[in-house]
Formats: sequence, structure tokens, C-alpha cells
Amino acid sequence: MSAFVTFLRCGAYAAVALICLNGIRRYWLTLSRLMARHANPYAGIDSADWPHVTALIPAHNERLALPRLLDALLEVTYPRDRLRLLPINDRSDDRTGSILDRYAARHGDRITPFHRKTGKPGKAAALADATGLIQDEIILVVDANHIPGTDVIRQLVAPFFDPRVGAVMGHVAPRSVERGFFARLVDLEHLNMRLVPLCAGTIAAVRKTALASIGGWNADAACAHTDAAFRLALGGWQVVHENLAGSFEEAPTGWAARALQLQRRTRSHLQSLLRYGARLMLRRNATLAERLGSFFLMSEALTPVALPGAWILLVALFFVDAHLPRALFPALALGTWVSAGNIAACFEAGAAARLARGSREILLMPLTFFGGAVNLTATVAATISPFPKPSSEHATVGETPPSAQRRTK
Amino acid sequence: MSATLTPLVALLALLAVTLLWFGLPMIPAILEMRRRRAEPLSADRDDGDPRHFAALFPSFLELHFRDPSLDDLLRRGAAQEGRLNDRTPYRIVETDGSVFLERARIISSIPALTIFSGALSLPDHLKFPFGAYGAADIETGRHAIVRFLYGRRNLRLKEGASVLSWIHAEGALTVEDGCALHGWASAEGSMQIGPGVEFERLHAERLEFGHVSTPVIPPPASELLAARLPAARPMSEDCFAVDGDLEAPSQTMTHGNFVARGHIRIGANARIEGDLRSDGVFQIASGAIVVGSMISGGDMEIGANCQIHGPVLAGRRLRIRTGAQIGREGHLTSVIAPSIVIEPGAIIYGTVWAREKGFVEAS
Repeated sequence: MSAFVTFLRCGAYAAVALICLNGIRRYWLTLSRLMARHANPYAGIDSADWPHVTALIPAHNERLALPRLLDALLEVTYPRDRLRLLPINDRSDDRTGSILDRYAARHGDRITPFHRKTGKPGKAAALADATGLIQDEIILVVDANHIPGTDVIRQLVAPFFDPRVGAVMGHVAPRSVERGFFARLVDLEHLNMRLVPLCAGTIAAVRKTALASIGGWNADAACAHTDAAFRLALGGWQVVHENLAGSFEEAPTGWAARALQLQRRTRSHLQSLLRYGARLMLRRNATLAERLGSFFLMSEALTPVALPGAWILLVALFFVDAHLPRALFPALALGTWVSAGNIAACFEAGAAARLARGSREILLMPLTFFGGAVNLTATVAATISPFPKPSSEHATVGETPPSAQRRTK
Repeated sequence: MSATLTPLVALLALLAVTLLWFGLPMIPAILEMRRRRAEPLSADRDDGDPRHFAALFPSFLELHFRDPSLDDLLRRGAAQEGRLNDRTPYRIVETDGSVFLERARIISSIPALTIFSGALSLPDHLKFPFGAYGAADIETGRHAIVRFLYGRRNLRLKEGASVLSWIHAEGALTVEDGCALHGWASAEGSMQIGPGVEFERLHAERLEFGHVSTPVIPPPASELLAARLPAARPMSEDCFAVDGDLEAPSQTMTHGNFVARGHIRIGANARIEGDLRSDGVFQIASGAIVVGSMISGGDMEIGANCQIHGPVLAGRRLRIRTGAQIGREGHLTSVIAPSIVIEPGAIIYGTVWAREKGFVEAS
């Protein structure tokens, strides 16, 4: 057997094994979500001396979405005197700045806008600049296209009474103006995601001292939260996914926008996995469960690439390998069907719709095939495109950047 | 001719059956797809507030009594019977309750939502399967059973009484020995809970368990020595990780947050200014003070006369010894564990949630 065939075989074995393992993991997660008792130790904390929180709201040309978010944040149940809103007008050229100033004039004791006119573009850089202005221990980051639930801040902050918790990610449900077929399919896919604790990070909270201990936000990261979550885990901090901390996100309005959103998300997760995945798995003091969790997180991200990879490798082996192990084909078929095919989508969507208490969306399940096809294409496209080189420089928490100093004087 | 047609028909039939087989599940999907006015899927908004039902119930009643309003009816103090809009039978009991009490002596169960307009002390063993609402002080009889009970003033559950769903008092709530509080119990004033009471979820500004004696005054912080703790790895400027067990000696003072992979033991009269987390057993000896939270993945024991300022969460069993104080006046906190045993003499300010079973030990 030539070295080339051996190489192809090893690749095929690895890809099929990865797909099958991921399938088992997805079933395990879904069944566990449906049947197991869920210990959510922090959910019951309703009385406490709540810490002071600053909510950072990065906004670049968000004149339409921002008023809705600010109104929602002004209505949350968190103690008024312990929540400060710091919206970041990040080099906007629409009316975002004047809207913020108007809100600040009306709610001066609660809203302090930060007009960022220079500096590196991007959300991570904006967060890094604004974090230098914060004195409070807990930093909340909310994307401008969100509408948080009234109790979401209390639920996001409660886990921080545990000194091991470095960051908390909330749960995001889509909401679109047009309640058509597309929006409802996206609903179903988001419900799928709810079963898997990904660091979506569009609404998240982080402990300021923990963030400082890992060097602050990484201005080079495709997604600042995801990058920070991985580095926090490497530093021994716990990152909590708080399923009850629900907020609504403005959903994309078409397949193209959806594919773009998925590509961005995939790239941010892959970037973090490539940078930190192996270190997370091999870190000192990690338990076996933590190592396995890290491995499976990586397998989840690599499965969309492994899938077409396995197909290509097996087709090639079919022609060049006379003694191709036949067991590979049914294993690949089963693994694909379970982990990335309609079974996984339908099983997760069905379980999620059941958890949503009798939602009619369950009837749309067979059509998730189309959403799955868009997902697969978008994630593969995002995976095979090149990544920017990482920089070792992180923005440091606590140091006010020059642009911010100019503004606050 | 027929020989060539048969395979073609067979092929077409196979195709049709296959299409039908794959198309069948699509029918409800396509029908559903045509609906345009579907609501977005819900984001969970259950905040777990123990006063949830109590907060909703008065407005539920107001919806049904509009003209005249419930307050007008209660002021009149006359008896009245009827059905609410959802067909639930109700009975307003006259202010002095004489007719009601007369009848209650011969029946064991009141088949209606009972609304008391005046203060009453109810007979023993009476059941309220439709719940009860008191506009004035209400005292249940011994071994009474109520589905739910809302009191606009003070409530007293006499010995052996049971609440099946929830109870809320706008004033004080007193729960005598051997009662069972299934579900949620809350009071806007204080709550006194006697020995032998079973509970699930309690909330009040001040919860007293059994007879509370004068609190023991801890030694002043200035008399304590700085603790020498085992090698701890700094996680941040104020948080330290300990790979094994963490032990804070008696009569010492420690600053900072600590995360221990093993057990945590705090010695008598020690003082910790920070939050503590243990993956193992958490023991805090008598008189110790923790100015912060205490989180444990396993069992936890809070010694006699300890003071804990922040939330207390245990992964398994939690025992709170006599004289312990959790939370402070005006600074409420939460105590949560699957199983909680509280000795008489303990005080908790805020919320107690026994996810499986809570019990106040007999003296």
C-alpha cells in the first residue's frame, strides 16, 4: 500500500471518527437537555447585595436600533442605582451620536455616552477603549440590535457571586419584523443552538478583574467575547451559559444575510479554537471532563469541514484503494446522518420546539433541510477562507486610551 | 407492448410512492409555512421570584370584581356567593364570620374560594381546596389544609397546618410547629417558622427559625491575626486558586476571594473578607464571619453563631446551626441547596430555597 493511500485512509478514518463522535455528542446534549435534571445553581439568587454594573453598548450607525435597546435597558428590574449604561458611539456617521446625547440629557444619572471618533475600527477595539473608563466590577456587553428581557441583567450578574465565574453568556432568541417562513426557520435554528452552550456573546457579562488578568479584550479577535471566553477558561475561570437570561436579537431578513451572519460566527469560533483549542485541552489542572468538553467543542466546529472532506477522501479511496475497508461507508453515512444531516436538525429542532411548550414551529421541521444546506455551505466557506494573523497585543483593562482621555476631560 | 410497459409503469409507480413517502411529512410543513402571523418563539422570562403568585393574585381578583369592587364588598362586610369569570366558585364571609364558623363545624371542606372580610380564627382540620383570601388577620386551625392563602395583614398557620401551593402575607407570617409549606411562602413583614416545619421556598425581610436568642457578639476584627494560607495561585488581583484544600485557622483574618478544588474549612471566630468557592465539603466553625458569598459543589455546614453576608449555595446538603445569621438587616441575600436543615435560633434575611426538601429541626 502506497504512502499516499495510507495518508488518504488515515484522513478518512479521522474525518469519519470526528463526525460520529460529534453525532453522539449532539444526541447526548439534546437528550440531556430533555431528560436530565438541570442544576442551575445561580438561577435562584433573587435577593442579594447586587454589584455595580456598567453596560457597554457598542454602536456603529445604529440610529434605528439604539433607542429601542436603551428604552429596554432603562426598564430592567436591576437596582437603578447600580446599573450605568455606557453606549459607545463608534465612529458613526449617522445620527447615533445625537440620539445618545439626547438620552444622556434625559437620563444623565444613568447614561454616559462615549463618542469614539478615532482609533482602530471594530467592536473589539471599541470595547477595549471603553473598558478603560469603567470602575464597576461587572461589565455587561450588549449588541445594539438586542432587546433584553426585563430580568436579564439580574440573571447574568447572579453567577458572579461565585468567585470562580469569569464570564456569563446569555441566551439569544431571534425576533424579526416580518414573521414569514424565513424568520420562522431561523427561530428553529436558534432553538437548536440553545441546546449547545456556544459562546455566542451578543449579550454577555464579564468580571473586570478577570478580564484584566487575561490582558483585556483582544482587539484582533473576530469576536471579542468568544476570544475572551477561551482565554478566561485557560486562566482557570469558569464561563457560564445562563439559559434563563434571555434577550431578543433582530434576526437577518434573508438567506444572504443569514449566510453572512453564520460565516462571521463560524470564523470567530474557529479563530478562537485554532488559537486556544489545543491549549485548552492540554492545560494543567484541567479535569478529564473539562478536557473532553474542550475536545468536543473543537469537533463541533470542525465537523462541517470534516463532512465534505470525508466524502472527497472516500471517493478518492474508492478509485485508488483496492482494499478499502467497507465499514467506513456505513459509518460515514450514519455519522453524517446523525451529526449533520436531517436527523440531527430534526431531532434538535423537535426537542427545542417541545421545550418551547407546544410551538407550531415543530411543523416546519422537515424544511430545516434547506436551512441546514445554507449552514453547511456558509460554515465551510468561512472555514476554508484565510484568517488574519493574530497579534500578541491585547488592550489593557484599566488604562484609559488616549482617545477616551481626550473625550472625558 | 405490455412487456415494455410493465417496467415503465413499475418505475413510475415506484417514483410516485417514493415521492409520496418523502412528501407526506412536508404537507403539515407547507401548510404551516403559509401562516404569516406566527409569534416569535419565547425567550424564558421566569425570574423565579418567590412572590410570583402573590404578586399576580390581587390583580386576578380585581379583574373579576369590578362593579362593585372587591374592596367595596369587603367594606360592606356582608356574605355573598357566586362564581368568578373562570367559573371558580367563591364565597365572601361576613365580617364577624358567625354564620361561616357555624357551618364550618359540620363540614370539613369549603368548596369555594373563601374571601374573609374580617379577622378570624378558623376551626381545626378545615380544608380550603379552592384557596383563601383574608382582608384582615387570619389564623388557620390546627391541621388545616389550604391550597393557597393570601393575607392583606398578618397570617398564622397553627400547628400541623399545610399549604399546598403558596402563601403570602402583606404583614407578618407565623408558622407554628410541624406545619408543611409546599411551594412558595412569603411575607412583606417578618416570618417566624417553628420547629418541625417542612418548607421549599421562603422569602421575607427577616426569617426567624424557632426561638431566637440574643446574638453572640463576635470578637472585633482588630483582635484577629492575619491568616497564613497554603500556596495559592493568583487568578486575578483579588482572587486566588487553591488546588487542594483550604483551611483558615481560628481567630484569623483573611482578605480576598478564594476558589478551592478541594474542601474548605474555616476555623472558629475566623473572618474572611471575600467570596469563597469549594468543589468539595465546606465547613465553617462557630462564630466565624464571611463578608461575601459561599458556594460549594458538595455539602456545607454553617456553624453556630456564624455570620454570612452574601449568598450561600450548596450543591448537596446544607446545615445551618443555631444562632447563625445569613444576610443582614436591610441587606437581603439568598440561601439555596437541594436539602436544607436549619436548627432553631437561626436568622436569614431574604430568600431560602430548598430545591428538594427543607426542614427546621426540633429544639
